[in-house]
Amino acid sequence: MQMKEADEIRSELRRWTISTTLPREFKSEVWRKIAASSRPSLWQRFTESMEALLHRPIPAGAYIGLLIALGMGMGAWKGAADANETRHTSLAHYVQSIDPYRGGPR
Amino acid sequence: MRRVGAVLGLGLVAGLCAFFGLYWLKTWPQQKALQESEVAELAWLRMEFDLSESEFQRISELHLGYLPECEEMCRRIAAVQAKLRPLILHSTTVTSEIEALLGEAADLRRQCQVRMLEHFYQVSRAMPEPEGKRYLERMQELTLGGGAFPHPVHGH
Repeated sequence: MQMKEADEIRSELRRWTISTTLPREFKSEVWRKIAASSRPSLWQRFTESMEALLHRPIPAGAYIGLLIALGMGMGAWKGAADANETRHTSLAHYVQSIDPYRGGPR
Repeated sequence: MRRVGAVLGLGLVAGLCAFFGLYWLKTWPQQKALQESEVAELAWLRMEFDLSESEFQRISELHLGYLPECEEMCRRIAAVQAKLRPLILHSTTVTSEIEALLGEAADLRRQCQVRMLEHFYQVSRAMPEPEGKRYLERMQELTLGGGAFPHPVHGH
């Protein structure tokens, strides 16, 4: 019984013809979509290239050296600015403590 | 991937250590001066001048000896100003009373400046010569010379 049904379906499918024509660029569009889906994203490409780069000792050392230099530069700059601020505030307190016309002792 | 993570982490830790190391090196002398100064307002002298412990002690004594005189001058200045202000505001001409008080204020200012200058000389003498000269120049510029102050200071 089941075999008979399957034969009928098979013969029916053989007779079925598609009359609609596909657009001309159908194939190229399909390939374009396949290519786009298999292409890595910008972020993926970035992380992959970073991984490849940091696996090599010289770029890895250069990256660490760069961060150390950056940290030193920023630390020196911020430290000097804060030290200067402290010096000026201390000077202001000193002058204020000895000059009656600037406030005098507190 | 683990190696890359380690390199990234190591770079960040090394950068942060470098930042705080340099920051500490730059600010430590000021922090030390602030901590070591028993009289808070004298911290600047420690920061700015190369003073020995005994020189700093001598300057602290001079400073503490000068403060009561400075306080008394402040009180007298405030008293003259308190008398002068309403007279100026309630008058339309320079009265003899205003003139007398202005003279008193000017005389008081002269006395203050003389006493302040004496104090500057005493402090500068307690310092090594080049430092004392530099101190005098700085004080002259900021007080008697009417120089601009590095920061706005709010007196009492």
